[in-house]
Amino acid sequence: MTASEFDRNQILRQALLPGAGCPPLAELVDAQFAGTATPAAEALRAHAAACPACAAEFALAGAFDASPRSDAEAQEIAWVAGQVQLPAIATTAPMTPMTPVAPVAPLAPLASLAPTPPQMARVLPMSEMRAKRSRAARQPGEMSLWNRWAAAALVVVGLGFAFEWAHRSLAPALPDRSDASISDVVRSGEVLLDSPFGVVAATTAAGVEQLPPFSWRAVAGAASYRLEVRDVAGDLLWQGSSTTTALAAPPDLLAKLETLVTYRWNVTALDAAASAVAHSAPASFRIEPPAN
Amino acid sequence: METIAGWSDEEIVRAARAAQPDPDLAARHLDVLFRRYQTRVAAWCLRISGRREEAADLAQEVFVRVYERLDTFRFESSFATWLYLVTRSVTINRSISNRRRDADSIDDEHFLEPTAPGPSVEEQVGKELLVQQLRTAIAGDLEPLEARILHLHFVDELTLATIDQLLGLENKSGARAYLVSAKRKLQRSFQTSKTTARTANSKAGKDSGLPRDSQGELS
Repeated sequence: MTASEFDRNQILRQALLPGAGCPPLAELVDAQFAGTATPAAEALRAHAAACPACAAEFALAGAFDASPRSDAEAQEIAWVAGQVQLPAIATTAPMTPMTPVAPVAPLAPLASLAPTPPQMARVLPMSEMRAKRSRAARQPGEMSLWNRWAAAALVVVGLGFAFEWAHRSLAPALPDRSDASISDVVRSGEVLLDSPFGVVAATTAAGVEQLPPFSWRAVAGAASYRLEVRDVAGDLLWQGSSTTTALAAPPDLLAKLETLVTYRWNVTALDAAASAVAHSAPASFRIEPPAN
Repeated sequence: METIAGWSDEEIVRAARAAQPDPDLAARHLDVLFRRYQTRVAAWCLRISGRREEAADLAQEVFVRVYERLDTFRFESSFATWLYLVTRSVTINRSISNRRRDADSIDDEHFLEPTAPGPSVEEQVGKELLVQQLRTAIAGDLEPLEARILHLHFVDELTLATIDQLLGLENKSGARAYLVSAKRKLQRSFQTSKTTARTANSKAGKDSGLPRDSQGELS
């Protein structure tokens, strides 16, 4: 953008700004969200109808209240909502003691957020909200998500019976694994992440920002853990490994991190043969800039 | 006895504050409150970012900010309004900072570019006059949706893709079509006003009287 274009856009921006007679944004949004048509709300609506700036904010606030526009969007929204760890419960959840880690520089007190056991997010009863939104977005006569799952389950069960019949009647020579020990079966588990999560404070020691150590819960059968830190685009910033359940952030990772930017991390538990036995769901954190 | 599910948002905030000596109880109250808005915030973040992984991070950031700043809620508006304003602020600022970090230009629309060689609009009238003229043209010549999209793009600095998502625009070119249409209308409006000004000046046989600097530019 040239300087001339920049000037033009600035002039246009100035022309689009709210005027002296425009109400505060909170009043405008209150009117938009008001369930009943009070005289004050109606007056604000009338103002917005004649004022491009307020009409734009009115329309924007309306988007906050909008229902999903399709089943696909409803599913995306439900997925996003399901990822959120609500901080109110998270801050008061009982914590298991963290495993000691290699010493790091002293940390500034964390903001109001304590490390969060991720399982708190999984007990959130989002199923009702998902079902409600799904019903609202569904067209008449369309199968519900539940019915689709039920139909899929019936198909799977049917295929199972067919396979069993084929196995017994057509392949008697196949080795019988019915007596296999349960210990032979490695189930995919989950690694529960403790910290860092949410907003974390950073201190400055010799010009190097410090992070709380990455920590997670032990997984039965794990001989080591692989930790990955990525940016929101999914690009790998750093990968480390540990035989304990914690790992301090090394300087080369700290050099890549910026304050007020969200990063994600996850842990994979590995057995003695370096095969994955459990994965964590990704957790997010961002670094608050040091207080001046 | 009415359960917490039947309480208003504001009643829950008050109850959570009153329950501060019992952090678990306060947290349970707030958890009920936050769950009410979890899906709305998720939807908003998805529409702002366009990518679900980024939306999840944004939504997380919103709830952390809401939790941190809950003490600043003074019941001067509804809780829904307050939460919306926090959400709006966090998400739009994040979106802008990400774009700036990526060195993306917010605007590549070449807005108000002169259609023909010659004196620019700024050379015809002073900046304040230009702003006033633009306001009149925006209010008088543009369709309401065109004016809204101009505002969202140039004032709130939302990308055209985000505006498409937030406003649910389903036409082929989305917000871009409205922006192009608005541009043409404003340019037409200025061409008309320039012609009118030239005619008036030639009839009066004198200069416009606007102050000029030594290079002949408008000051």
